[in-house]
Amino acid sequence: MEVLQKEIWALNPEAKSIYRSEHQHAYPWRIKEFISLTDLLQELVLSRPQVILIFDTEQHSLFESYKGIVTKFKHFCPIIGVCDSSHTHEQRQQILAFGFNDCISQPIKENVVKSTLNHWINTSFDQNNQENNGYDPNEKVIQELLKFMDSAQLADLMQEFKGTTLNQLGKLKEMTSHKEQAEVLHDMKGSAASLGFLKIAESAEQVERLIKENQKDGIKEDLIKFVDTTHYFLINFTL
Amino acid sequence: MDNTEEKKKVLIAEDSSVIRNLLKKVLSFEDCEITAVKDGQSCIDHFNEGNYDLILMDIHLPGTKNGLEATKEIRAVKKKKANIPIIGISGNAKNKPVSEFFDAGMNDYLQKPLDYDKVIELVKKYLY
Repeated sequence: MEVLQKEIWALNPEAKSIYRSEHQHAYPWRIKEFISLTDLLQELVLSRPQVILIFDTEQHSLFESYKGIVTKFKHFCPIIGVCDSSHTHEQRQQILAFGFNDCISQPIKENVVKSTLNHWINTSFDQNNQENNGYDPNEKVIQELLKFMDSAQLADLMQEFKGTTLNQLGKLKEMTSHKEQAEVLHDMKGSAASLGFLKIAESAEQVERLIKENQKDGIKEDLIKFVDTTHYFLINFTL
Repeated sequence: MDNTEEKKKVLIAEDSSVIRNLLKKVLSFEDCEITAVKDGQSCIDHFNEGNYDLILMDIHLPGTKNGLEATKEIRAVKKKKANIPIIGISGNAKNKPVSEFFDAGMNDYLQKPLDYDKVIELVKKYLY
């Protein structure tokens, strides 16, 4: 089994001594740094880290801008705030209540950052496995398809499905027309089911039905949840 | 199969590139010559210009003509080839009366998710 490279993303990593210890080579992860939230969000479209560290979390001017990323991604990827040592217990509680998964004080002690990151890296794997339940392609459908093509050809089709669907997911949220949304979901449902992605097909069908029945309550939330969950699964999917 | 025998020609009208390519792979086992288009009007154009033995037509096609409308237009052509077998492909067959597929002139229909053995069975039924 392939061992995944554990990657941690750090936003605003000004306090350089915090995690770049002289012993970093001994850490089982790789750090990727971002100096702007926009860059980090763009990268999140293409891949996922094991943990995101956001420095200077306590700065109120930045606090609100993190709301989107924390709300959207905290269930898929632990997001840890890194705060000034002067922050109070109340501030820490506020950060956690805001949605961050954890909070570390600066200056960070090596054993604290190491054990905290290890904890959340392992937790994120558990969450990933849980989220993937039912999303992997149905084995019976795969075996049926392999009667007509070899595994390399099937992998090409899966890859095409992944690319097409990620592209459609990106457009879904931007669309204002319910008719267009329903058409995209309908198309996604058909191709997903035919390749054995039954959970994606089922979820797409549910949202398509809500839209067609013009149920005002819950359409937006269900659509966003469908897009985020499916996007997350496909980004991490390999045959 | 006799190599001197001309290959059967199948026209696929399906907007999803994934399902188009999937059907191409599955039908390649029947040694057919396959042409695939993604909307109803292209299907009509290819039908008019070529000589096909079978059409697999998605019901839910984008553009000016969906699968049912394209089928009606093909059936209205005043040539013998207008009798070409047309198999509809529907993602909503469970929720829709299938009579509208036959009313439009389709000979049969397949339901998504595709049952590939059924695809082969129907293709053989209408090709040979």
